Amino acid sequence: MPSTSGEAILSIKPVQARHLFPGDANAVARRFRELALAWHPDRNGSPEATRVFAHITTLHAATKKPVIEERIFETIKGRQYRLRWRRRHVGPLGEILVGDSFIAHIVPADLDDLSLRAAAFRPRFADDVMRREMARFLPRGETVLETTEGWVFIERKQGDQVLLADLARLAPLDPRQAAWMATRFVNLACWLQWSGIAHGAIGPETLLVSPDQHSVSLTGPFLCAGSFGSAPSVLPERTLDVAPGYAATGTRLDERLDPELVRLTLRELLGDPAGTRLAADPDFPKPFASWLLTPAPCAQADFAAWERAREASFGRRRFVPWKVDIAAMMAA
Amino acid sequence: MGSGSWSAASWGSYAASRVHGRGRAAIFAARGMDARFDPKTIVKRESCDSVDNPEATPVIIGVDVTGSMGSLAEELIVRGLNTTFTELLARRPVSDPHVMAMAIGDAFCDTAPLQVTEFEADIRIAEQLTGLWLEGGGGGNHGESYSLAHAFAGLKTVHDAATKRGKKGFLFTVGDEPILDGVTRDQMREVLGIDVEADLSARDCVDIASRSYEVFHIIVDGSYAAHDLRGVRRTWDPILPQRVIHLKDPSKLSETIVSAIELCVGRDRDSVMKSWDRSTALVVADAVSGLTMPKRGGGLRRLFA
Repeated sequence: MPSTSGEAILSIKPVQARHLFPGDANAVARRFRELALAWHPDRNGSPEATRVFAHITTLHAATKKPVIEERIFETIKGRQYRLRWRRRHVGPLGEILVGDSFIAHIVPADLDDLSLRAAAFRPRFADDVMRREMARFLPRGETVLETTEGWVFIERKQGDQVLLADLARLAPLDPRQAAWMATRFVNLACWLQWSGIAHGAIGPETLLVSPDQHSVSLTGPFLCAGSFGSAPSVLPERTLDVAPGYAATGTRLDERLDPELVRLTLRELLGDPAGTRLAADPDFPKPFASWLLTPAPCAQADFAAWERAREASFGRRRFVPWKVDIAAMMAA
Repeated sequence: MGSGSWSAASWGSYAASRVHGRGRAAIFAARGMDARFDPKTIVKRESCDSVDNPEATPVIIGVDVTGSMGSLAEELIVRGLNTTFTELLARRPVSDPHVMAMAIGDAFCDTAPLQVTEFEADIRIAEQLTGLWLEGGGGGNHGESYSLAHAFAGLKTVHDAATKRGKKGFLFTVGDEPILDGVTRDQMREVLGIDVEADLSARDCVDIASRSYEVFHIIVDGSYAAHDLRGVRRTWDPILPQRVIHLKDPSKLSETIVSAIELCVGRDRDSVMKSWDRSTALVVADAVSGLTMPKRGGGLRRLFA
């Protein structure tokens, strides 16, 4: 149970309301009564009582928000498909609905050509060992629907997984938590390089993360992906913002792109998309900051560079538990 | 740095005593690099919000000072700086401009291939600009080290516009030559004091700067570009698509910079051009005709395939 000092209560964000109000509905109501009595301005003479009381009310309201909504899609063959979701996002590739056991990416109809290509994409593996190793990094059990609203790509999701865009609301993250994600992201980029493709859209809306298991996986159709050496047909503005050269006539997709997007994603999670503030922060590990700022020639070379930076920043690898209240995050 | 604000009176007084009626050699009296401007020893250059400038926007103008290009620095101090500040403050495409000047040379043959002032919002930028050394070097290697400016901006500047408001600053490099393809690992260490694992290409350096700046390059009609404009563009266009400006009259440098900033924040092209007098509008409209500003706010951009 968190401290009930005024300062502690005010530091809780609505997304973390369940930290203050754990348990079932009765427990939440009981807890609210206790705190309201303790902090009501008529009873509490503290100068911050009014503010704290108002914040307690806001946090209490956050626990009561409807947590499940429903959306029905109609396929072009007239069948209906019902999704019950908890969180909605709008990312560069379209709308995203996140439920307890699935994540759905809805790609608008004007991107039909890309959806068609993405639906046909099949990942490659050298052998069964690689298939088993990499399967956990890739979208699972995909169902693809062609609907009146566009293409809908539905994937299975485990209960402990959260879309990185949701987790990013906790930014800035602890550097140690960002570090294990960096290791996973670089692994993923290595496989993409081995496959000879640039994903082109790695970011908060295309990654699922399990804070509990320290695992990550790509989510969503490979709409922007293309083979190395091919001209990119479409890229997110976010990508072109940090790699403007890919918009130049004659430029080809190459091994540099995904490692740069991995870095951008990590800098965003650490609260500094440009990265220069991290480099100037005496409390942030210097080798980590330096790695975040320097472009990599390709993911496979980057793997060794990251391992050196990680070791120099944090020493021997060890598991640092990270307790994130996924239920509260999904409800907020 | 970056407190205070630009005033016509301060500029008038400074220019009367230090600029107007003087030749280039008298204005730029330095005969070596001032240690204050040595990028190797600078830990960070900061553009911070202040009481005078509560929402500071960094604007970096890096001019080629090799050979005859010393005229760009002269243009900047005689007329450009005052016009840039006056117009930015009057038109307000961005809030509270903080200007940094850079002198760019050639890392393969110059003693001081990059010099950088502080970010300033008042007459102190003029004082620092005139303290830069116009080395006048450069070599016959078909290019200058503009990438040093990109790398410095991306790796050694910090600004509140980005860290507090998620906004980019503006970086303009100006010159007449091709861009040399990047910075070697040794040059990064020797010139900028930064250790990197491998050489950086020109594209790497532009990408690094693009994380926190809207990056533009202005090609002026100096001797090199006048002779081989296509050769110059061939090095710039692939790394800065739709962000390369060809300015035929360098005396309109500041109006071009201000217009590019206005277009970048989404102002209407015709309105921006009509805001200048007729002769200026003609030059500026021609210069920025190739700029295409993508719509902001995320989403996807269709490319060519």
